[in-house]
Amino acid sequence: MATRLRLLRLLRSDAVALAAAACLVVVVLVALFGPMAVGDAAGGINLRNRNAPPFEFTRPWLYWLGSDSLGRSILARIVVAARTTLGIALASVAAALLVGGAVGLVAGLSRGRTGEYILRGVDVIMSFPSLLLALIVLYVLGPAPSNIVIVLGVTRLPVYVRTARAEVLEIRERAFVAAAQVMGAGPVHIALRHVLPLVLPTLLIIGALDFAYVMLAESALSFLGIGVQPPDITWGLMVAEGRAYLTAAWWLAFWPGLAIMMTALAANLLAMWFRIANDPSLRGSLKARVAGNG
Amino acid sequence: MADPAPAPLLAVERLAVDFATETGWFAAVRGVGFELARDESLAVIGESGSGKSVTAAAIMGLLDPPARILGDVRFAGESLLTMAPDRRRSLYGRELSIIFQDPLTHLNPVQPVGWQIGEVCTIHGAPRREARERALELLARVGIPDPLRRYAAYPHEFSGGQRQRIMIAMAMALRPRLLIADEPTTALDVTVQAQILELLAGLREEYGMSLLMITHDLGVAAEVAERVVVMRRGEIVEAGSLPRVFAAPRHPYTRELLTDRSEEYRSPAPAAAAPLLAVENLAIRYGAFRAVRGVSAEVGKGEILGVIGESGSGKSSLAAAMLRLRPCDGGAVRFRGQDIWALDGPGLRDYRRSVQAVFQDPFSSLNPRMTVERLIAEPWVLNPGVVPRARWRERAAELLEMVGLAPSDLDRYPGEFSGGQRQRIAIARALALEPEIVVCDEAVSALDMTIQAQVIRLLADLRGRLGLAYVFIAHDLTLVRKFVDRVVVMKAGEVVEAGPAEEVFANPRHPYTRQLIDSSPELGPKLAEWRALPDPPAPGPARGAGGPPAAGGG
Repeated sequence: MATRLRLLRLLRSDAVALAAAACLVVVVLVALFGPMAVGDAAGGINLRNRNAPPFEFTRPWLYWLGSDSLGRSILARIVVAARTTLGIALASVAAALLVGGAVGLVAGLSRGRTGEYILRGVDVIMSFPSLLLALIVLYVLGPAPSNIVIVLGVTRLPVYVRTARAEVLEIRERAFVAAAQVMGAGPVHIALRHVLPLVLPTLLIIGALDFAYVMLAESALSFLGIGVQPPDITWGLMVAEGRAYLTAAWWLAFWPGLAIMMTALAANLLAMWFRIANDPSLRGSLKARVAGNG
Repeated sequence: MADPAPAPLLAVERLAVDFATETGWFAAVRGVGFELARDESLAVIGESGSGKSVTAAAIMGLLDPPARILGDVRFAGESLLTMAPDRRRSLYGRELSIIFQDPLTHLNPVQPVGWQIGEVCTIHGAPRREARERALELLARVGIPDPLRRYAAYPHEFSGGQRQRIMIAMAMALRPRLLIADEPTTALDVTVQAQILELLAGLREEYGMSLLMITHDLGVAAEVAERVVVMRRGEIVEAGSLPRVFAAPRHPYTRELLTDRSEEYRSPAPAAAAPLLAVENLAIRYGAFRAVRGVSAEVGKGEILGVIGESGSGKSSLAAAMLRLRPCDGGAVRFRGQDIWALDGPGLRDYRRSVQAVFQDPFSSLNPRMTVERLIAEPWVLNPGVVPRARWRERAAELLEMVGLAPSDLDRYPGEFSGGQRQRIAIARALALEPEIVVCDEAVSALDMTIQAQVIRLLADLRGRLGLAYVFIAHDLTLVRKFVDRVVVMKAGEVVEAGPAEEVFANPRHPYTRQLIDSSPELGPKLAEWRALPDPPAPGPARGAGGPPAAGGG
């Protein structure tokens, strides 16, 4: 509890991290409650309003960001798409991070053959073209959001396994691990108390970076018609649809693209801040910067 | 020394170096001034944080902003700090060069060493062919066997001592007038150190160059220097000729450094008791490499067993086997007569509780993410029932006080402590389970001399109070001599000599033991000689600390 309070206090004093956190909170709130606010405007086709440019404040506020080729409000669509986009991206990244991190931890700590087998398994996943995997799985199982999460999670898995394993291999040789063994610590204690806390920040950073990657990968799947199916929408799908109109109506792809970028950027900044705030030897620099800023 | 006419080869004048930190400027070097004449050899002595290496880096132009440099460094009358970069580049490597402590990180791992030595020549305009010849000549001069074949070898294919020789060859490539040596032998074994110092002395004579030796080791300084400068916390506290400073130190800090405290390491040995931990005919292999072969040793209650030997002698493998960190490939380690690998349940718990360890590197032996309180309490988490949960904090504070730290340190992180303090925390943690034996694997090797002395005295004191036994692994013989009761000398995985410490040190029987004892730079005899001089050399016109008196300089 005390640590959480201290983290909050640190966050409040770092302007950039605070802005990033605020941005993410807004995105999450929009994803949760936004769809109720815009009603069914996201699906409301209005052919007289086709490709309306943004910033025409004489129109209703829903059209301030413009409208798409069927005259649907872009703002409303972004709001509605936030939920699917974030849901899929978060679930895929979380699944890949948890499973990959755990498997990598085991691979790094096991002295026997297990580590080798795990690595070869990961190599198989890496060498199999991810798009092909996606095509097969989604064609066979059908393009339900849960299947998309599985496909994206599996594709991103190797990064976490390999990173976690590499970090564990280094940490495992440090003297404090030997010291813990001398005190009578078993492998579970060492993994959870000594190794995991040092590996987790790296994995979280990769997770934040992957967040953007997964959003784009999901849009690629949607573009191919095996991802999210209309009338469901995601930011990635909107970008993909807007690409055809880039020269005539840039705002179709721009606004959802901006949403993707801002969310990914905020996630990255926050993850970076978290890494520093969570490391006692680096935390001093945050505090000092705070003190310097008054 | 009495030749006043030409400008000194190197003159450091009121040098101050500040580093930007979060809390403002940190003054690493404050108003340091000294001069070095042609052909002279000067040692700058200081412990970590004294600013000695920063001074060397400033002379070599290795400090970048945001470091702030004030004062001046003159080489043969020219200011190194203000001269044009082109001119400076032409001096570095040719007129003044430097060798560092760790040759492995300062040699490029992907280039053959011969090429790297020749590179110094080609940078300064020599044709390739000539550079290659010079490189071969230098390799032979610094004592690399079979230079023609080894020319194309890579740094990792050489031993530590050979790498240092290669660094020296690089530094000597263009016959510089000044060589700066920054702790050149600190990472090396004593016998290798003796060889390197000899090589440096020979080269100095041959090329007629000046030597600026940066070191923390008084023995090394006494070996090579004509004059010494003693630094502490960025300031010069004393300077003068070597015999004068060593025989009649004026500053309390110099006196502290020179005091032989080894008598205080002594603690009464207990009456012979049944062995607590015994190693029998132990063998350890790494693949085909036999790290330990047929080693036997034992420690009784309250006894201190010293294990000495150079790197690669199998000392640390022996410690790992004693601590059950790696299995034996032959022989056995017995705790109270029982094979430690046959132990389970209560027996294993008893062993884990009774045998603790303090490791060499206090920077990696403490988890950086845990507070001191959690670090010290961890043994109690793993061994429930030793100390009740409610008393953890109280007991941890007691242990901290026992090793000379404050209870208020409990909530801090290891990163906030110095090396010596961290080692005390590691000792406190090792004592948390009230063990009977503590295996100290080079536990003080990484520490400054004054800190070393403190830690050893602490260990000696704890043995008296708690009846602890130690297995004390070290490569520094002067430390071991008075501290341990019995000693085991290891070489290439085997025990070459064993016996009561005093006896082994006084009458070494094995030639290797004799070599070890001869190589370790001892101050004692030289000091006695200097002190016996009828008239200690006059402390010439304050040439060392001299220059204009600097603000805060001493």
